[in-house]
Amino acid sequence: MSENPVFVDLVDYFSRIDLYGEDSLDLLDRLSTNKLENLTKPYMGMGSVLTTNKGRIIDLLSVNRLPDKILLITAKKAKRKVIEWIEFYTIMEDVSVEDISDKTCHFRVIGEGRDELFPRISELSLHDSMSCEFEGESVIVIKEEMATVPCIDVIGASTVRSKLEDFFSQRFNHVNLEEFNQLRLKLGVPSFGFELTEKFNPLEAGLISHISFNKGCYIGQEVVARLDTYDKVQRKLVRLAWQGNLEQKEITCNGKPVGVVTSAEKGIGLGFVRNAYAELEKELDCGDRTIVVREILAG
Amino acid sequence: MTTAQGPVPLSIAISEEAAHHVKEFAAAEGNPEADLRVGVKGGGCSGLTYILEIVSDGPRETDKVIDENGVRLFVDKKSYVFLAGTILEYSGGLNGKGFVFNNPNAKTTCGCGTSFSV
Repeated sequence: MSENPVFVDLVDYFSRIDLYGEDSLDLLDRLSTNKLENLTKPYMGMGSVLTTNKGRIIDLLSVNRLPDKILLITAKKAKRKVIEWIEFYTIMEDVSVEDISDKTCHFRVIGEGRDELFPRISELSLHDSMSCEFEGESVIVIKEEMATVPCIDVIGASTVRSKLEDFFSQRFNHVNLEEFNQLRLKLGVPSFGFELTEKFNPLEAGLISHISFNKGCYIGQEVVARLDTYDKVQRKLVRLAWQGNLEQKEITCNGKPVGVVTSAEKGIGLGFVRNAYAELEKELDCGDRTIVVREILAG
Repeated sequence: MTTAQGPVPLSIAISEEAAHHVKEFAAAEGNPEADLRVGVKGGGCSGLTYILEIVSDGPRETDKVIDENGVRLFVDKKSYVFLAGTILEYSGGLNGKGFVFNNPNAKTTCGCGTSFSV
């Protein structure tokens, strides 16, 4: 990526959901992979994968504990499923869900510029957040990263969207969603609907840092734990490169299917390949193109 | 609701032995007249986890109350949907599992038997 920080408007890329009620964090802990009980104080956050009872990915959630609620960030296209999932499993718990996507704006600054913009951010742990005042309104700033590139997510009321956009425009180059997608492929960041789907499990998608193996039961835990304990993960997420355009998604080696391309854009992409073929600079085939493994993104 | 074995009664039952053990647990807690709350909550490997709790504050307004074998079971409405037809039994002895939910709605159960999916 460019060395200069950039910003992107993610209001239509992610959804934002508020959870209220004293059982919110406990319920999410029972439904997803990470140890959310460790979010002991307001403004702590972590990623956690919502999984099916077969251990497949529903989506990677950003879970942010705020003083009076939990702020969840999920892909826009995953929102309905995530809300339905939480509501289905809310039985006796004190939990209520509010979709605040249309009432909020969401920007991301990608690159080193974040520390100059919000000096206090350097004191925070990854995924933690802080509340700041901007033009008289409160905004939430979350410390994130894309691969190893530092980022901040800034979330505020939709009434400050244009002011925030002006503020970032004066300091950083703007990238649109197409350019953002290109950037995530260069960095090897999986996305909902492509790499984060019910076809794949969190281990093969490189989400192990969002899994706790000692937290106890959650939906899908038995499958995820078994895959890890018995080393049964069959394929890995990889970053790929090729020349020209791809006309198919199936990856082969000597005519034998060994994987699939899940995201492709201008000669780079992501995909899953069987473990034996997940080697750096390994040359594979995708139709009439040679496709090269540039980075292995899952352990 | 029907299964291969025929219609499932839309109630929840407790076996004599399970009721006996509930009374024992209630007495051990110092309240032999206590009741049993039965329910489910989201989570566990398979999706839903059973809840059993000795309670002494009576039923809630919307609870179903089942009185069988000398024990009152309180079941909240949403849990009842997942538990209709269940027989709560007790598996004793050295190899026993303790309280066992024979739930006709459970399509799969996890290895430890405490969670299920519908």
